[in-house]
Amino acid sequence: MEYNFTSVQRQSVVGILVLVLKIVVKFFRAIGFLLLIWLFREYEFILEYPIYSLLAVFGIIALCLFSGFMLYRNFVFYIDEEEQAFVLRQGVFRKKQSIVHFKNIEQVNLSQGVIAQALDFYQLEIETSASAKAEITILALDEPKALALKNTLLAYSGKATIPTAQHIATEASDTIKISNARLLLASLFTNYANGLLLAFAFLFTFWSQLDDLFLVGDYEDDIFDYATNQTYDKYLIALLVFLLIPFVINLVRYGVRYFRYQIGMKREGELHLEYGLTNLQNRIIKTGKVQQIDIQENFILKKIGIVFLWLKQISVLDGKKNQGMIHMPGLTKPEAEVILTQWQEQATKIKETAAVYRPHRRKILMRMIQRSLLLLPIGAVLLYNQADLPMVVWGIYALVSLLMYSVPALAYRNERLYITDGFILHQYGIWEITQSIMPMYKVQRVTYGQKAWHKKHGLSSLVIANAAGSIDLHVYDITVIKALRDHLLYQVSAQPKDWLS
Amino acid sequence: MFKNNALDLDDVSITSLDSLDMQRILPAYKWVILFNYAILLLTSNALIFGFYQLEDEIAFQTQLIVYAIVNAVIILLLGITLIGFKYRKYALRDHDIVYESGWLIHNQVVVPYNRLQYVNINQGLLMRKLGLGTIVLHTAGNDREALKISGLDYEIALKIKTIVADKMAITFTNIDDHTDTLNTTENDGI
Repeated sequence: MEYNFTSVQRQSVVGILVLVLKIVVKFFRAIGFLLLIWLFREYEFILEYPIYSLLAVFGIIALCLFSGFMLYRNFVFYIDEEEQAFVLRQGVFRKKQSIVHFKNIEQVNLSQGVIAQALDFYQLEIETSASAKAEITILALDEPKALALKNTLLAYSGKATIPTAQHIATEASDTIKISNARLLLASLFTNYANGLLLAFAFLFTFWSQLDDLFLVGDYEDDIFDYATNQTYDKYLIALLVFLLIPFVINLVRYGVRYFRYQIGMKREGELHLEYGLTNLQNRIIKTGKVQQIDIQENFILKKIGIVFLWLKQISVLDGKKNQGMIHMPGLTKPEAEVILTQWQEQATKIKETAAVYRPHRRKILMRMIQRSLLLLPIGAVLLYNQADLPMVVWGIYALVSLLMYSVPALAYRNERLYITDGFILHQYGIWEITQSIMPMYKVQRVTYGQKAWHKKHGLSSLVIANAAGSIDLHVYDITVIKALRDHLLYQVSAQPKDWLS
Repeated sequence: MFKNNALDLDDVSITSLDSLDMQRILPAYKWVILFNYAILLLTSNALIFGFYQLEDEIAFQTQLIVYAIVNAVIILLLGITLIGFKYRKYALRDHDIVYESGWLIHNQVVVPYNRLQYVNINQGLLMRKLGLGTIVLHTAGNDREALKISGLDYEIALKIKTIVADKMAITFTNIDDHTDTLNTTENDGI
């Protein structure tokens, strides 16, 4: 990647985290001791007003985050070619500007502490002849930017020549590295539901293991009594803590499994993957075997500019099972496009030329009827046992119903079908929006379907299967579906192409 | 160079599946369906009966209701299957094989020959008595069968197997060199 340091630059986003950490450390150094003494004396206050205490903790966290962000925003640097100098401006209220002339630069150092190593960033220091200490310290830069800045500065100061910088740029372009900082962000903002399920599973196993943990008999009643005698604040806190668990689970899961993710593309048609903390994976993926790629993003990830890729490989070949699904978490959009182009040259351009279709509005109605089939009987059972039920149950029932009924409309809003000469792209989802891309020549089987109650509305469905997955189109206009079906079969048979290529 | 233009879905030069004459499967297969449902009825009732023998605190009335519901559901399913029987049809085209079925929920599965990995024929005891066979087609990647046609005359099933195996072999090499062979093979509905 090319960097233009003559324009104003900032640290890498992970710098916010480093700054926040610094602030927290500063904060505890300043008043930590006093706080500890106060806590020791007045811990009853916390037990008495848990909500306020929790709010105070959240308030302090928010304040630290905010000041970290402000410091980050106000930390800029650039190269002033007229002055032949490197300029650094920092400070929120008290602004400070440091200027280092190129001719004074003695050394540019990159270093990594423990945190920097874990989150994959570098600290850059500029030493001058003027003082023994580093004149300028930039806390957090990602690797390519740090290298580029170092080389640019060295080149300007006459200590090295420009070509070195270019050399590094070309070498970096055939390897994609997912920095740990990005992995962290990605893991925080995705698959919350999965994490929640895992948390529930954990809670459930814990509950069922209680028998083995305590050998006394009556604990269940004790726990129940204890639980029912608590105030609402404590329920709320327990709920909040529980809702935070998925974040931690995802963080650990992603951090351990996909640590130091690297994708090498030195050879045509191959992706060399390397990742993992405890269990280092080293895999070579033949792009021809990838039958379908799913791109996943959500509202927050979109804002940060991060996407997830799922490469679906053929799962059974010659009777041998291989690990079919490959996950690439936390790619930037351009990086994802590089991978897509490695797979299918045209895969990134589908949306530009495609014809776009949407499902029929009746899909919302149909999904709502489906949900009613589940919700109404439950409602009937609740009504039957009304006398014994607390109001909370009805509240939960109403909330769940509302959520379940709003899902079809949201799903309808996001669903699109893009068709070009060679590709199908299906976009769907509620919060996590997935785009499934399938080249037509990889289609293995086509299932056209129509339900009796869709006949008079001219609606039907199509399931397009490849060797690793499928694209399911439901409640679309019958003319579109039939034409697509016939076209797919025509393509697969009339212009046969090896589907493993 | 691979083209990637917007797709014209009204291209009339592509033959549609709608204009296809399809073959029904043999009515004798109804006996197999009836036989399977009879077994299902027997086993499910036996299971419920066995369960009640072990748990003796359940009221007789509740027992009756459970029996009634289970049997009603099975008989309803049987009814739907029998009504849907006449919708079970198949056809072989030049380049793919089609099977459709279902009355309330109608499905039509199409698998191109050049995607098939292997073909086999199944025949149960009752089916052998009736001279019927089931042809099962497998594609790559999926554990389960891609397409399955039950209730074919056994001889016809064998014929289909030969034709499909032939076409698989052809399409794996090069389709253009064998167009003539393809057209001369008898394949119109068999």
